[in-house]
Amino acid sequence: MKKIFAKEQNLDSVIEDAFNELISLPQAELKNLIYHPENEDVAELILASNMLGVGEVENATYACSYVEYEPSQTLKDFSMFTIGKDDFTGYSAFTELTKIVITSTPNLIGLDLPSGFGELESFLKHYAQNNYPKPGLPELLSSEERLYFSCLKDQGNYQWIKEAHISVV
Amino acid sequence: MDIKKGTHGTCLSCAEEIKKNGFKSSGKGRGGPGVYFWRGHDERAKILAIGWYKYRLYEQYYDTEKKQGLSVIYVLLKHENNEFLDLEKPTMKDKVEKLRISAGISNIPNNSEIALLWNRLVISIEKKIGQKFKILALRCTTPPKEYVPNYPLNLLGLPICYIVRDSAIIEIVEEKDIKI
Repeated sequence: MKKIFAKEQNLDSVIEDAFNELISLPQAELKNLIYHPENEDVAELILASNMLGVGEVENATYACSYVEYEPSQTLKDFSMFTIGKDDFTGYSAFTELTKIVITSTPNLIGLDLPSGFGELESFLKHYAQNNYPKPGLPELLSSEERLYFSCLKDQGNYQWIKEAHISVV
Repeated sequence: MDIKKGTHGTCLSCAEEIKKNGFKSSGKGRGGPGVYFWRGHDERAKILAIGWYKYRLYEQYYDTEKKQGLSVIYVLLKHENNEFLDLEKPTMKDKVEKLRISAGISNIPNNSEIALLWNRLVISIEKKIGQKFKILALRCTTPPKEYVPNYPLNLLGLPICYIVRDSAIIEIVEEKDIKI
């Protein structure tokens, strides 16, 4: 997302262009994009993985992506992540599991963890201490589940600025 | 600046959490990730909000919540014109159908595939314009009929939902605890 959309641009024609580019893709590639949107942008994966502990862990691969609201911002602009588990029923269901407070980037050195999340908590603590993923998280997630990360600008301002998710693929 | 009205039904505990920390996006829904609101503040939207709450109550979704009574939350959604995308436009429907065909997805996609198709289409447009849409509009299925017996489906068709993809645009204007 490098460009800023200008109001005077004709949205309909841009939509048409985007759509034509999309359906001109080979079917296999198109299917992959539809079913695995998190695999879309390698650069975003790398950036996010640097911050969120995403990468290969044993036999599982964590894929992570995020939506960038303002092209000038990076994950480093944010001081806290909220991690939640989605129940996949839609309509605003989101169970917050924990918060990660970033007091110094790129390492995550502050954690505010509620109790009762077992391996996830261990994983996050380990990650915070070692800045490296630890085996264990894959068992927490079925192939259909995802953990969602929301990135907040500061702890007092609960503004939903960016969103990232991590999934076992 | 444009302002839309939305309504949301949930349990009292969830409403308290929302008032304290704001709405949280759901990862899935008919139109992809976002916070879902029934369009409007009128009686029809209230019927849908209450019906949705009753359905989830029946599904035992609120079983772990301390306060399981009904709360209806009314919100305003403030956005610029170019931050809104209407997925109900016939041209958008045509596109999602062509996308389904191009991807070789069955004639009757399941709910997950419907969400993925819309999500892909929206993301591709966003990447093209370099900007995120903060709010989408899409017709969504009603709760099962027994929970919304007074919704005139035959007259109005499926209700329009607003799918908010940036919670910062949500302003809660009223929350009503309703006894049912």
